[in-house]
Amino acid sequence: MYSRHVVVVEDEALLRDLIAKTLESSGFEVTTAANAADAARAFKAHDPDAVVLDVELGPGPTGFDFAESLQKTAPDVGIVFLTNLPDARFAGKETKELPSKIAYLRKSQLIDSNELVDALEAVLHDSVVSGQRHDLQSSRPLASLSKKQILVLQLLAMGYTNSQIADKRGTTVRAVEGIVSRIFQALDIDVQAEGNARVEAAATYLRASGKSLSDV
Amino acid sequence: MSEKFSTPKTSLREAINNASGPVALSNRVLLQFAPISFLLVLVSNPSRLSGSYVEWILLATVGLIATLAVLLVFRSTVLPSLPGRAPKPLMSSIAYTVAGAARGTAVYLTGAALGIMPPGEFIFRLIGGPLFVYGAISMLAIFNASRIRHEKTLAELEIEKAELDELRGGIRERIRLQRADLLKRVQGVLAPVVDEVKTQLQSSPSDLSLRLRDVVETVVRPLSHDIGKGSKVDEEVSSISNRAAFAAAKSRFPSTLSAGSMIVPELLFFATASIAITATAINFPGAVLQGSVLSLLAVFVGYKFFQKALAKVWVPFVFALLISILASVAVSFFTGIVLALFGYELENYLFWQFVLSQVVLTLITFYMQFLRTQRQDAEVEMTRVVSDLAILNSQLRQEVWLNRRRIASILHGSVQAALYASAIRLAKIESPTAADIEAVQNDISLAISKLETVDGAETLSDVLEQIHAVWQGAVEVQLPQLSPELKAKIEANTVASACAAEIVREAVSNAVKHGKAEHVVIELEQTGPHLLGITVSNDGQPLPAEVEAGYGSSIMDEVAFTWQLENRGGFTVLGAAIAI
Repeated sequence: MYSRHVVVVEDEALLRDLIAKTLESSGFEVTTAANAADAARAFKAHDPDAVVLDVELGPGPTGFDFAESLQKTAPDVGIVFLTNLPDARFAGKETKELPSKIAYLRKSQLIDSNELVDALEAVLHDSVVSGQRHDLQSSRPLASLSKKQILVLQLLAMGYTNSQIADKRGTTVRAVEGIVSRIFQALDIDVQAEGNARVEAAATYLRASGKSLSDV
Repeated sequence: MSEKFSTPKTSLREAINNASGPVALSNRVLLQFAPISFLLVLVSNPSRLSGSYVEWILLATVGLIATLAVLLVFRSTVLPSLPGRAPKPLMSSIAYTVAGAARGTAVYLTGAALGIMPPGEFIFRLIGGPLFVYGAISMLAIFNASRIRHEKTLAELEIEKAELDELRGGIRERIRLQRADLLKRVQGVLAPVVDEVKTQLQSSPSDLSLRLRDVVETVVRPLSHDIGKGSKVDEEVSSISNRAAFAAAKSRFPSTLSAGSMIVPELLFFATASIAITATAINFPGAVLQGSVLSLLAVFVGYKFFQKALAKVWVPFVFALLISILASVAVSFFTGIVLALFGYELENYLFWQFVLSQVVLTLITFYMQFLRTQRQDAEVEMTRVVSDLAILNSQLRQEVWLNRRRIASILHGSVQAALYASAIRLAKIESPTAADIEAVQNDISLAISKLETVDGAETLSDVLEQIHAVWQGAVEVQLPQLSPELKAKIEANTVASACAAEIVREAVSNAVKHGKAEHVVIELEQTGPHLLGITVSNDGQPLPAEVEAGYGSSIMDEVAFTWQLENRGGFTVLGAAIAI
């Protein structure tokens, strides 16, 4: 007899089914959804207790969009993000913009499926611990940078000049120079050293985000 | 019916500005003035006055030197021929009048000294000279200013095209890098997994490895080629480049012209002035003013009539030319009749000289109008080329964005999910069987095979429905009513459809999160032959500048042809256009 109902929102069928089976074997009733719209319909139909939510769900609303909507329609639902993104900044959001009582797990760090079950239990009992917030770990990539700095770094990695970045952000070149300088400082990049600091910063960003030049 | 080539309308203000602008006294105009000046003296004088051609050549030379000397004095003092100088109609009129008077006086005095210029000619020279200089320099200035403006416009368009070409080259390079990267990254993602699977599975590791490599060779590499091979965009670029070459070379021959547009009464009026005065001065020395006014009025009214009457008569080049000649003959006869009605009948030889001069002047204006038509066509074509290139570039940017997202979503999505799932599954199995190995292989193959399914993505309508479903209960989202034609057009273009979906998603998301909107209205309409207009209005707070310049705007810059965010009537409105 299942005691809690969970909606698993994952656009990859293989992972979706695996997560569903894992959770079912741990005593949850599971409904699966391939995108945010299906998840919304599942919520209407089942009024579940929690959701395991991927962020990137293909074309259409993202997991963050759905979480935002849930905050308005069902704020008491537990949310576990299960995603490839190191943290919300890589999707242009501040971590504080996410609902507070959530768990955030990175797929790449999840080998033991029990971690997911534990995180789900934690959000259901309002007892999330720091280990269940991979997005807040100090060891996460580019942990010391703000969302704004990440965005500027992203533009820098795309090859934009300070002047172009200023244009895009509607600010001055001097302001961008300041941000870039602070980024170098945070990443411990020596601007005086041999080699190009911008290239080094771009490479750091690409390594951190798991992306390459073509998909920044 | 062949293509109609419209001739730009003549503007009196533009004509005055050009006639009194910096081009009027340029070396080029003064050089062009010389043969006309000679021709006039040699055509209109020896037949009615005494003197040999050598003497008249001498007089023509004197007249030309006198004219140029005065004009050069004005140019070096108050009418500099510097680019950008403002037109000076009054000063220019004085310059032409003085130069013409000097010309008339010099010709008269030299002719009198040679004994071939009767005293009665002086007043005629004094009036005819300024009119001739005014008419000739003005016509040449108008013609040359038009040419210079045209060349400047074409040069600007060429620069714009070159910039767009360069930009396109950069985008193409990024697409090429993406393609190369695709294969590299798929291999990069698979290699460690294969190693991991090898260490976990003691049985048949080589078979599994070969199978995975086989997948790369048979699926990923062909796919990389598929992404890389020329799309219809390449053909369009080539076709547009050809059009650009034509425009730059001005090589399109205006096949069908408006017969009326080839006649320019104002120019013909000016050009006829000195001839009309000459004719009346010779025939009716006591009524030069009346005769001149009558003949010039008749000329102007006659040509104006033909210009209006024939404006919508679109004919091939040869017919347009014939019609212009016939019109000039008709206007000449009309002028002769008008003069006769008022008692100023021209002598036979003067009348035919007048007819001949009208035909020649009409041919000159026809040629000028023909060139203007050709230039306008070139400019219009070039403007279209630049506009089409801008749209193409926008489409290329969309391709880059979609390619990027596609690669990322498959590699970070399907492929990684398959690998993680396999890893999790294998971690639970103590001693994997052949069936377990096959299951892992199948999972990975299935994930990689997704690279082939480009068109399986949701349509824009699907995404709009998703947006509506996701925000239902939280925000009221009003979806657009699409006509079947527009819907079909959007869905036929998967790249544009995906881009439009992303813009709408981002706009709605921002409206809710940052604007705290409660109502969002989405509208889509075709705003141009290749543009889809997207409007997302919401009743929330205006977005702060920081948000405007943030992540969302980065996507907008990438995929939208144009976009802007504004507050309108209490609503925050995002307007975007995407190339389709």
